[in-house]
Amino acid sequence: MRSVILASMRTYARRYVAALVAVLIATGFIVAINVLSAAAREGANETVGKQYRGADVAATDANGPRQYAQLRKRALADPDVTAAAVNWRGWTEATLSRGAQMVSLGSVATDRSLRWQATRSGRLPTGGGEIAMSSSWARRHHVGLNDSLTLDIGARSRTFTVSGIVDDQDGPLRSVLYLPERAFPGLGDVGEPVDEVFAVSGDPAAVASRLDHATSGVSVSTAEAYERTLRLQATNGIDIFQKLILVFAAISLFVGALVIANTFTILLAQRARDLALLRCVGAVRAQVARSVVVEGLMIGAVGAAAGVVVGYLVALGGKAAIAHWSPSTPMGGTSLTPGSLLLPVLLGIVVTVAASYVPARRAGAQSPLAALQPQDAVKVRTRAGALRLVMAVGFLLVGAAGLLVGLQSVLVAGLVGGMFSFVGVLLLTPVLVPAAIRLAGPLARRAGVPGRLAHGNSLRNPRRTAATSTALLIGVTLITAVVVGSASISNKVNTSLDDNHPVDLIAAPSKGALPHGVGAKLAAVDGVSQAIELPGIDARVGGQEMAVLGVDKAARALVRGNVLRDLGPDDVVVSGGTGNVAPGDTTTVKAGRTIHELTVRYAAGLGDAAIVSRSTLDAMGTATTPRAAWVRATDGADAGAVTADVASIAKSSDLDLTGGLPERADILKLLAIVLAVTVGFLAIAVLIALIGVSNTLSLSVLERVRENSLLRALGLERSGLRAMLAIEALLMAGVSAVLGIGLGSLYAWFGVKTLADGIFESAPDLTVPWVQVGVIFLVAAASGLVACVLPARQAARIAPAAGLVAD
Amino acid sequence: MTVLDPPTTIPAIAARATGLTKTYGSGEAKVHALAGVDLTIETARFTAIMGPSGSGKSTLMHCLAGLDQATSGQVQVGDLMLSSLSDNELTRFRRRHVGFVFQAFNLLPMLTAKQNILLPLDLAGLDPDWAWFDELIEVLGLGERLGHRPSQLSGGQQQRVAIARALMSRPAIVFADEPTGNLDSRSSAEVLGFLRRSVRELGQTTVMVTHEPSAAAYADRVVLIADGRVATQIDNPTQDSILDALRRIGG
Repeated sequence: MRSVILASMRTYARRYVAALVAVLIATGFIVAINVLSAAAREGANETVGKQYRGADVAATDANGPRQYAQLRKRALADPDVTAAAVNWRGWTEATLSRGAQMVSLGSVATDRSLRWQATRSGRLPTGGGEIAMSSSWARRHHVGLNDSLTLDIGARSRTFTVSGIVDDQDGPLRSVLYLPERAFPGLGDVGEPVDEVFAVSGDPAAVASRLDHATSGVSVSTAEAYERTLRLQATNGIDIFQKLILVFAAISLFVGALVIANTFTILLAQRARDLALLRCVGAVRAQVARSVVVEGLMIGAVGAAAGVVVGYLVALGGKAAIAHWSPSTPMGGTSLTPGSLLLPVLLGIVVTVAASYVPARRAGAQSPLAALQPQDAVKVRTRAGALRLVMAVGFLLVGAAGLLVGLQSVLVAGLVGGMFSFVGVLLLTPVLVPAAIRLAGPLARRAGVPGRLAHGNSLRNPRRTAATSTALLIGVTLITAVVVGSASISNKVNTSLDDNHPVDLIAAPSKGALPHGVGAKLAAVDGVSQAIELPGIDARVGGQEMAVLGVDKAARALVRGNVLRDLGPDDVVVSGGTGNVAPGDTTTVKAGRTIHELTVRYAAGLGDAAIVSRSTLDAMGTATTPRAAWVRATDGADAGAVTADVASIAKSSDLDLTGGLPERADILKLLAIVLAVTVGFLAIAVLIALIGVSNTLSLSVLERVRENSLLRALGLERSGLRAMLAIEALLMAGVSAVLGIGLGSLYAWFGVKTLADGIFESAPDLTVPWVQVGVIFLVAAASGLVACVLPARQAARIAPAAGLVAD
Repeated sequence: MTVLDPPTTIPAIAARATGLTKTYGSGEAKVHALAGVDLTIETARFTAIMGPSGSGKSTLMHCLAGLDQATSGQVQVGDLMLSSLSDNELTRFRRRHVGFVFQAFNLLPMLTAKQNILLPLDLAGLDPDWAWFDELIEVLGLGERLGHRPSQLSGGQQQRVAIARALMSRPAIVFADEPTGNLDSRSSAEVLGFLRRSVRELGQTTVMVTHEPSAAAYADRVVLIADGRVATQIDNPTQDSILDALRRIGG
């Protein structure tokens, strides 16, 4: 039997390519992730070691700097302790040419032996007015050696001189700016101590146990033990990230398994007569089935081995890319450990073998008589059909249960439910796809005889049609789920941003009128699309003194979202935290001598003033002055730059600046990154699915050489045959695209509801981006068409007589 | 080489069919492919089964060879009752006791001629009898062709490889289903000659299904099947006696 397996693998090598590539990509993906995250873990571990290089004993959990100072005094009295330093950490605002920016502060140990920063140029700061900065930050903000830098310290600004530039060094103590350790106590609440480290001449453990709890609440341990916990913290994030990406790897593997099962089904259909002949000359069922499983095993082994190589190369590339784009991210060596190797290889093999198992069983059940009869004579409509249906329903039920449980924000249940229900749907494809194609019949029949033939062909063998459609269905479903899901989430994010930050930036004085000309200055800022001064008046709203602003049409147009859209003449909008009025209440607004009874509404992000419509404000009197300026940024403008420019104008006019622009920009940017990463990783699964499409389509055309030749013999022209195959491909691709878009939207809904729970107050609605969905449909249809071009040409070239006798 | 004595007065029985029926479909669409066949196949003789299209001759062969199970009746090959066997037992029976030569698609396209010949033994996990292999190759003139794949062989050569494979395991019976159906007349004569030689010189019991009187004339006995029944049997047939018999049954 071995000779048969080897010979058939050699002969049909080309047809195994799709299965092989599917295994390769899926395992390669896992290997790359494992290698890269191992490298990142190693890198993170190394940085911890570097930053605590000189420390032998470490103390944590002190209640403020005073306790560390006490401990230091006590420790330095110990003859074995040679040096001590407190590591500080802080945040403050630095004034830069582009505006203010929050920066992190770290400390440089007074004692040289406990310093870990490496200077690139200059020297580490020692004196009061000196500061060091990390090289990448210095480069980005064009700050050089001996330049001065202003920081917000407490209520006032202090200027420092840059004494040194240090290497970027990731790790728990990483900061952008470094001040001398002894400068920190004088900075007020800007900084706080992280821990205290000691250099020791004797046995660190003995010193640690002597110092432990010498000061109440402060735990002292050896630096070695402390670093262990720091490493765990440092790598925890990487572990989570790795698991998250492995979810995508699982999806790829799942799609790969389907493609493999498909490939085998079609391969074995083509080899039905080979297998039947084997049965004739004495192969028992188990032997035939085993031979197929062995083929799967070999493909799995070869694919997984190749996947390891490719994955490792990708990891090397990834590491180089990280080193280039993000040089401060510490990466260790990319080495293959048995763990990172064995698991993906085993997984690849197991998945391939498992995927080949069902087709193998079917192949074993091949009747030996099939070898003696013309093709297609044996029609199998057996228990298998019913069994498949029962299994499909089972999978669907379990999957639906999983999805529903997932809605209670149990991500794993939702994921497993999604996979199970999808398998259920795929099992149903022999029923679903032909039914859908039947519906599309009138369309196909318009294309004349080839159209009618194509329609009939795609209905005649449901399993073949289903097998061909499956790969495309998988791809379209995945992409649609992501596109629709991401559109829903970003729509939700946008609406919730609009609700919370309806105005990009608001500049207003703490009291009184706006200085003259602020609106014009703001409107002139690059990246500002609109700036409006709002008239207002001092008033008492519900017994509280505040400014009341009037919004006209132009001001409403500037506001994002719907918060002010149906503001009536009898409404007053206040921010949620104002006074003791509740939404819907009627409150009294006294301005000058006028008294208005207005209905209270809440809105966030509109500043401290109450807001009424312009006509209501006008009715309150004529003594209005401009009280606030509202700014809307151009879509896509650099939020940081706009905010900085507006901030400098506000500062010079002594105005308070509020608004959601910086936050909006940050969130949208983060969202875009998350989406890009998701689509990127899913693209791998989709790529596998597309390989499956072209594979199954071309195989199903090859499978029918004989009947195509018969059609040609009966007078179908070459172009007619090509048209028939093209229409067939279009029918199948179109139907799978429609089904996939429907399914994908459904999964998107479940996914969004499952993921959004806990992130948003109310679950997002489903937003279908029709243009993108249309593109998906067209691409799916086109990929079906492209996949059939070559095999159709080939089928049309075969002379009718040659095809009729061909086996 | 085993050369048997000329046929003795009472030849041994290689296979026997008793009251064999085979029906397809049910109700209105019920078709009797075999409607009660009684037949004995004698050892070391060349039996041809003939009949018009749809007469049931192929079905009869499939039942005799254990490729298909009869609806009712008995098939006995050697001392085995085939109707009592499971699928796996039937497969092992075919592997051990039956050799096949089909009209077409006899050989696995990805295996060489030699691998094809040894396939049944390979499947059974048995070591080939190399002396017997050499003898078969010699007799069938395949020495030059062992390393070729089926696509590199002519139709006649392919059928010779199929005969070698059928004989390789020294089966109780070789079944040949229209072995010359796809061949030109010269190759046909060659293949039929080999089949007859294997009966005469190697004592191989052989059953051939054919609808060509010229092919049937190579056999020791012709069994004529019509409408699922044995119509008549002719010993030591000639082409003329076969044609006469066919005319009588209206084929």
